[in-house]
Amino acid sequence: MLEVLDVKFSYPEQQHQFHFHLTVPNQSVLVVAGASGSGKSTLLGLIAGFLTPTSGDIRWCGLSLLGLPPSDRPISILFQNDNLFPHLDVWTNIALGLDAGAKLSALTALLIRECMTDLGIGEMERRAIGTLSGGQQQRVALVRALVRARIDNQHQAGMARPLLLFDEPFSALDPETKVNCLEVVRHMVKQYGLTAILVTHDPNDAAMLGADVFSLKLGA
Amino acid sequence: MMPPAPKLMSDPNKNRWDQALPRRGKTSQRLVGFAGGLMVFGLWGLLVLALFAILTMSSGNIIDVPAKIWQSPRIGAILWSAISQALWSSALSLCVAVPASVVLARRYHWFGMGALRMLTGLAFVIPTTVAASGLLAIWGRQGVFNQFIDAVNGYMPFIQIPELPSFFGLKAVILAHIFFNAPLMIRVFLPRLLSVPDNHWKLARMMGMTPWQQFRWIEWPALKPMALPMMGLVFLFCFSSFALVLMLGGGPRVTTLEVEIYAAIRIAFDLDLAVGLTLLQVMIAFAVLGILMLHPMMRQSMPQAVMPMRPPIGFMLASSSSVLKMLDVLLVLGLIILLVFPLLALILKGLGGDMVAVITSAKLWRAMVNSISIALASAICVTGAAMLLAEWRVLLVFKATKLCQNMPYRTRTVYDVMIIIMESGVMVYLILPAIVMGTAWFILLRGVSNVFVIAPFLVFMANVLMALPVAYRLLIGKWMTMRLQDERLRLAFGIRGINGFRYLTVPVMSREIGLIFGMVAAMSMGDLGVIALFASADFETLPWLLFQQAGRYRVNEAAATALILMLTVVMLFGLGHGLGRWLSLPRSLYQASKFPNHPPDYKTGLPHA
Amino acid sequence: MLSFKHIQHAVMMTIIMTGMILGFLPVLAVSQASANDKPEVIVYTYDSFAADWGPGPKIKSAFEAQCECTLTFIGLDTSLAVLTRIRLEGENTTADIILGLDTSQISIAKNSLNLAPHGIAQIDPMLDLPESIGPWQDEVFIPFDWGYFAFVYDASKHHQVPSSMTELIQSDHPWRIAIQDPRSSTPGFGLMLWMKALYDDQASENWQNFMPKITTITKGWSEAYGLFLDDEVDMVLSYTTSPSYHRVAEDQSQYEYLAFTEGHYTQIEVAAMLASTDQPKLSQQFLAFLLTPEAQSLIPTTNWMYPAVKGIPLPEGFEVTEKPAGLLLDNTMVANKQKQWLDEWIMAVSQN
Repeated sequence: MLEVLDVKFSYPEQQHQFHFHLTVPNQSVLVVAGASGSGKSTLLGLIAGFLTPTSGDIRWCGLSLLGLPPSDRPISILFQNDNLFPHLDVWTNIALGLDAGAKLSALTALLIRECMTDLGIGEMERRAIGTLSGGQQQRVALVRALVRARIDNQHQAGMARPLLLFDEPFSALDPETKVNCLEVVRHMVKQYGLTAILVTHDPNDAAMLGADVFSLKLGA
Repeated sequence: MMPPAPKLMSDPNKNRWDQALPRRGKTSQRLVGFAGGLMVFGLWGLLVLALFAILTMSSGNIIDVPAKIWQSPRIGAILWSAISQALWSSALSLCVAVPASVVLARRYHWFGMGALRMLTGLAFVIPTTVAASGLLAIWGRQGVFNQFIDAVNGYMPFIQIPELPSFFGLKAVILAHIFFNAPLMIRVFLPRLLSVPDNHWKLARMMGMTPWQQFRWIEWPALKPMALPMMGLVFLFCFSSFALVLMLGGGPRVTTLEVEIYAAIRIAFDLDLAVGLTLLQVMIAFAVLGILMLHPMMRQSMPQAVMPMRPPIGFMLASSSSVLKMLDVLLVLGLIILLVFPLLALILKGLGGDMVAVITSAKLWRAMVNSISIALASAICVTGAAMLLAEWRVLLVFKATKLCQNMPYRTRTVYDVMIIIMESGVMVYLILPAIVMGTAWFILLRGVSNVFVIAPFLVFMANVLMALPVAYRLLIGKWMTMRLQDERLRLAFGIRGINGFRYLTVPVMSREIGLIFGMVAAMSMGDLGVIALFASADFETLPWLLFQQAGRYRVNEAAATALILMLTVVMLFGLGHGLGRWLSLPRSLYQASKFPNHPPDYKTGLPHA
Repeated sequence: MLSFKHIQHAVMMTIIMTGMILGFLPVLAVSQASANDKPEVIVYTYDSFAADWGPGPKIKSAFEAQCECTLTFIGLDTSLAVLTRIRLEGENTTADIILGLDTSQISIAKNSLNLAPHGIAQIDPMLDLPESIGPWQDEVFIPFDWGYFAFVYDASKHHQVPSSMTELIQSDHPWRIAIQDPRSSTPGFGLMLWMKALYDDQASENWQNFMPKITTITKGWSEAYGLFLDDEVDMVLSYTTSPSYHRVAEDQSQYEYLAFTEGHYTQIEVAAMLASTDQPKLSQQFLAFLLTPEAQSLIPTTNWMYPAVKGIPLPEGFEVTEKPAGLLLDNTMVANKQKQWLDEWIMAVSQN
């Protein structure tokens, strides 16, 4: 489980200090809601390792994550846009998430195909990103995160990354697709025992996921 | 319950914004069209007149001319020299520019990077004579490197590092071309790198990419679309290179068609040959330009130096290893040696030179006055002309798109043809050798007056016509986008003509206007083209004076003159930049001058009558 | 409907357009319009002749003292460029006198320009030119100075130097030499003729063997000499009298020339008058003036060549060795063959 213990952080040019303290139990989804500017992306950035807290600790299963670069943390992060490299095809995008040289073992390739079929984008291996709709693109990114979560040493060198961080990834989609995607997330978390933190400005998302809500007011 | 629709809504066509185009407000459009048409007519007319003049001056037998060219035994060697030199220069510039851009982006916040970035913008406007002197000061026999080698050899006689080979020749020309063109490429590559979305860098960190993998998956794909087009553009520049090849080529072995044309006119007075070579040059340059323009990336403005440079976020750095740091330091050092050292050498040499003698010489001030007045006149003329042409081009597009809905396809083609005539009329001067144009007009005008009256005018005309295509391309991309967005706003508020120009266009385009003003002034200040034909002791420009002094008896004076020329160029460029900033200052739409004593009515916001 | 606003706009556009068209007015203001009561004689010559440190200013003051006129030297860049420039300017050329070609271009100049006879009788007795050229019979051109071409080097840096052209070409030592382009510069043209005179049909072959030592081929004499003084090259093609300049004017005696046993090619510089001149009498007067002791005595210390006229004393240190043997090809042959020889030269030189 993820523990964010008394983490304090402020951006270099600003005086305002963020203060986070929360716990996310395993195999659950936490929805982080709040108004714009309340620090939702900052929280994710801290957990992911893009930002360094001035004080406090972040622990995953008891082990401190501070000091680890983002590639060594058991996380996968999904953004609202620019999740995929538009000049590469779907397969390479997913493969890069597993090995930065895009070299995969056969087992891993099988796993990827399985996940792609699960999420309904099975036939799109060689498609160009530009030809996919917004929902399909986010699903490709989801596949990448899912495979990263399920992988283990028999597939490929590298650890599994069961902690999923979502930074408003579905906000730009139309409501129907959005509901679909949220459903997919819920399903993934339940079936594979993952842990997820979903940041959103829409308060209804929690209800759809059946998840706990952590409300961020400005600063805490 | 919906309220009853107002009468205005009953006619479904009434709401179309283009139908609402009022009858008034066309006058300024008509004026722009008229002026633009006159200008294009003038451009084509000058071209035709020039060709006519040259043809009458030569034997007049146009069929003989190509035959003469093919029979000349040297033509193969000339073409080979020109093309191979241009290929090497463009390829090596690319090899320099790509790693340089990556380093400049990656180490954006290092000390001195801002200055280095600024220098990349400057290298393009440095006069060729100045640059050649600076390069000689570094790489020449008595240059910095050789002196260093001599010193090492002196202290450690057991290691005999060979001296650098003689500088003149192909290597010098290529090096000089890299000096000028790599910064141009960097100016295009760096913004592209800096506009990669932040999230991509974050993904790279999440995926744990090494620096090489990051280059392979993110950085190079960002640069690749512009890599070949820029190489093609640099090829064109190097293929048409004149002053550099003349100064550093070291003899007839290294040459371009333009140098040969100059030789044909100036030295051999063989105008048949000159015409033939010009045709060949135009054909090849036209072909290359045509291929370039087909590329979608180049159809926008060229080059996209207008993109603001955003500092990258910290996640671009793939690794904090010291190996990478050392590599970057080496790259930066290499870049500094390539770009900065020649300029530094010039400054030091110039300061150590006969500065006093030079400053007090009347010759210098006469040349300076000549150069600056031509430069300023060219800048004003080109800026105005480019803006006029851009506006007319936009109006043509408006007319074409508006009409194509109602008119048959035939009429729309008329506008397309007009656009093609206009754009080619402007761009054709990019590929025509300045020397040929200068000679042609001189031949036309020499019956009118003597050379001393005509020559300054010719230099001015040549500068204007050579700079106009570049200025136009720099403006048109953003101008078109802006006008297309603005048009509905203008119609809605009834902002027409000169008002629209003053209050809406100028503030948006201020930076580009300042850029082209400064660039044209700087280019004209440092230009050594037409003046090579018509200079005399009575009419000199500063670059010509420097060309004369460079490497002469008066070596010290040359160094001082080079420094002065460089400072003037920088000053003019800065003037343009300042003009851009001044134009971008906010201006109020409220014409306070009309109502000096009455503040606006605070209820309605309208001025009192 | 034409309202005030439209008029305003139209006026503004007209002003902008006119401003742009007339933008070159300051440019015109720059070109000098000399309004003078005195008639003006304009001489087109090469750059170093007309420069402040050259013969031009002194000759100008000397001539103006006796002619009631203004003498103007227009310094174009290289010697051969003068010829081309006048051809380019055509009938409306402002040049009255063309000065600075040498004897090898006499026929070429006569064929391409409209020159007038100088009208000076009995030149030959007063001339002191090398015997090889025979009596001066040209009615259009007058000689005003002469010299020998030679390679100049720094004797303090190089002690073992070749003593003949063949030795220089075949030498193993990696000499760095700067020469001039024969298409634009009279010394360059002279070197080409020199090689022709020495090797005739083997000239191309010798040029190819020579090329590895040629560092650069400059447009004119000034550029090449400057490179030599800047120490970019070991030797430069110049005149036997160039070291004289350094000895006499700058008190530096380290510069010397390579004395070739085969002989040195001679250059005799000439001047002539254009038929289209508007000052025929004054032009003739100037040409005659050039041959007077007054003008000729200025030559050695300003142009650093031998004066053409007898009896002009040379400054001390001007000549420290014997004059070398002089070579000169026949004028007409040069005129006939020059195009072919130039083509051969270019081919030989571009071989690598």
